[in-house]
Amino acid sequence: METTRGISEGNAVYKVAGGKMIKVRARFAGDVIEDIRISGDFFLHPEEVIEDVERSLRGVRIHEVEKAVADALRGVECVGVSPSDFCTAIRMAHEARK
Amino acid sequence: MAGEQALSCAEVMRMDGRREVRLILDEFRPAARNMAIDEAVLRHLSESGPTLRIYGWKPPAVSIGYFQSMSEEVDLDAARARGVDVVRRITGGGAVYHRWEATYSIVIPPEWVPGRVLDSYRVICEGIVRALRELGLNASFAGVNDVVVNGRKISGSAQTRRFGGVLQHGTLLMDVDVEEMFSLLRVPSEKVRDKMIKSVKDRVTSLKSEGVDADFRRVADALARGFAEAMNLKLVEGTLTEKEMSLARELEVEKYGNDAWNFRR
Repeated sequence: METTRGISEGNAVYKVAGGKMIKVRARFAGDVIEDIRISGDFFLHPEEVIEDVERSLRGVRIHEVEKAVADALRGVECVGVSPSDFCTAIRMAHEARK
Repeated sequence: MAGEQALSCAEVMRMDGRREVRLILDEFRPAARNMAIDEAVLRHLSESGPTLRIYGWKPPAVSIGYFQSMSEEVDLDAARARGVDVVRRITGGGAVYHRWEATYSIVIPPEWVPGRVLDSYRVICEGIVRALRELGLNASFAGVNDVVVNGRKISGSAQTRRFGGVLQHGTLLMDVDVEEMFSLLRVPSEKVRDKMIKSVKDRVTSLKSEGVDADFRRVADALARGFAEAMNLKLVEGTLTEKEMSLARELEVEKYGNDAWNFRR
């Protein structure tokens, strides 16, 4: 059984409506994201913002990812995916953690 | 006629409304060099002016999107064994196997296209649609950035906006070997591989599959004319400048030929 402070890793592959793919590799300490890498065949403009998204998710509780993602993607044009798709993929990785 | 020669680009535009664009009918090049040239041209937009380059790939290559992970997407052992280049693009999107295709890259000022990337794909991809029509096919834009013939994808594109310019590059498939492509991509299992091969075969087509027997040069010419017509361009054949070549050489070694970039994600 995992304790709230237990370290776990979770991966997810989420195919969004329309066909684009979001892949998440994350390390959690209980419900807190310790580290996360988001990849896939989507488009974000400007592209470098993906690093901001990942950075701003570190230390965030799983039920607070919506706000962190929305803040990091404010003013960013997402093509093929929406901010909520990223949140879904992150929650899937959390649920799949071991 | 000295006065005529001294006309600026802006004046030429006023005369017939067409925008002047340098056309580079390029060669088949290694992946890192192709991506390096695209970026070098983008970075020199204000100096060299808008540019349309049409090129191919030798050796064949797999390019992955900006947000993709090389080790997750590409079977690197298979690529090495087959002498296939791998490179990560400056643009988003998916993994592409570049072999029998004509590739274009267009670098233009942002003012030439709609402000939203999504809207501008339609404007730029119209060049590919016209090229395909010239080659005798009933092509149409299918969003987000695909062009289809008879309901199947024949061209995909990707765009980035940086250094004050718009770079869009994309492919026009002349022939396609889906098995060969999937032998280079990583898939969850063999069973999934077979399913994916079947699915891609159903969804993708090529000039050859559509019965068009055209060599690279003819396809390149059709693309040039297609873009000129669709975007009202006056194409002037040219080459890369010394500065662009020097920056491209640098980017080829330091960036696109380097694991730090290709394996960044």
